[in-house]
Amino acid sequence: MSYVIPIMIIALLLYAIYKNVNVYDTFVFGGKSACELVLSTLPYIIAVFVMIEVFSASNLNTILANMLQPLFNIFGIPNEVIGLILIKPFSGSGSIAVLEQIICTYGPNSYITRSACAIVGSSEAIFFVSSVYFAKTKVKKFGLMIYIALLSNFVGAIVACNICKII
Amino acid sequence: MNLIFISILLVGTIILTITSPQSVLETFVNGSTKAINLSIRLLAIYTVWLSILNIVQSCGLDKKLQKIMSPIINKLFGNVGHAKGDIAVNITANIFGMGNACVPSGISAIQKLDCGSKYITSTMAMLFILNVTSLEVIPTTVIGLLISHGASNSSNIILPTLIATLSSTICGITLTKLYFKIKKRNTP
Repeated sequence: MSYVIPIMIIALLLYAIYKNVNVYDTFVFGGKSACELVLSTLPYIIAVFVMIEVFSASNLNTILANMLQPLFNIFGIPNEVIGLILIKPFSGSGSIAVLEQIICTYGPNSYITRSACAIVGSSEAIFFVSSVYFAKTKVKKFGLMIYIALLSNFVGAIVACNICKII
Repeated sequence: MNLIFISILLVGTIILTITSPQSVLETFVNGSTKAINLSIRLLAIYTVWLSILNIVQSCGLDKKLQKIMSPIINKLFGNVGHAKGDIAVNITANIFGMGNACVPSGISAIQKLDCGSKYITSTMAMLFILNVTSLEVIPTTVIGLLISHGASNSSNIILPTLIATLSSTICGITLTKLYFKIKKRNTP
């Protein structure tokens, strides 16, 4: 697996030589657009991260986890992964940290760990994507899209927990 | 987004004020510091990926990718005009789990789909839902994490993850299609 991306890069560079592309100039231009991109998305990333920090520092996530526990149990989701499901829409790196804790606590081969892995793999950081992707547009009204995204990730989590019981 | 942001911020700050008032400002600054640290890391990652994507585009490879992906894109998005190339790159990067490589192409595609409206359009919504329900076929980060903790058979999570991510993606696509169909009917 670790060879896929390196080989693709080598193939691309060779193809660029074949196509007579000025690789240096294109590469520099890519760097320039990256600077603009990060600068324009920075305020949005700050807003999302302040929200995440308040969310976990105030223990709001554990309070919410306790409140939602009965609902999650109906769908066969074990209590140990609820915290992970709640943090996942906010931050990808945050959920990887929670996943690492779960692996350390329950062992790499347990049912809890496998469910947690499938949950992380089936969803994405919704609030990060929604603020960063739309940073340069005028779009402010998402309608029900955020809720549809949250619901879809929840469905993914339900499937993840139940499929891991069988496989 | 505003509603969720204000509710979490307000409730969280109230709880913090009751439990430990001295940590309120510190929490805010901590969040912002983490955001800046991440942005610097993202700058490094985006520079590499945007440069690579730029080479891809100047070689005309994105046009070829677009041709291969065309049936799927047409089915999901309808007519998207010149955003098609970016969408093709974005979906491919998502499928191969190329970390943050999908973000620059995603932003560029969204910009090309932007018509200056305040409201999200159906094509933007579709790209958004594809990006947040994860299309990743092989969860490289998670497998790496499992191996580093000594998992005996780390690849046995590939199948459950694939089934879970397929269900979330299909659910997302269906709901999005349905949502915009109902919306269209209600606004003649």
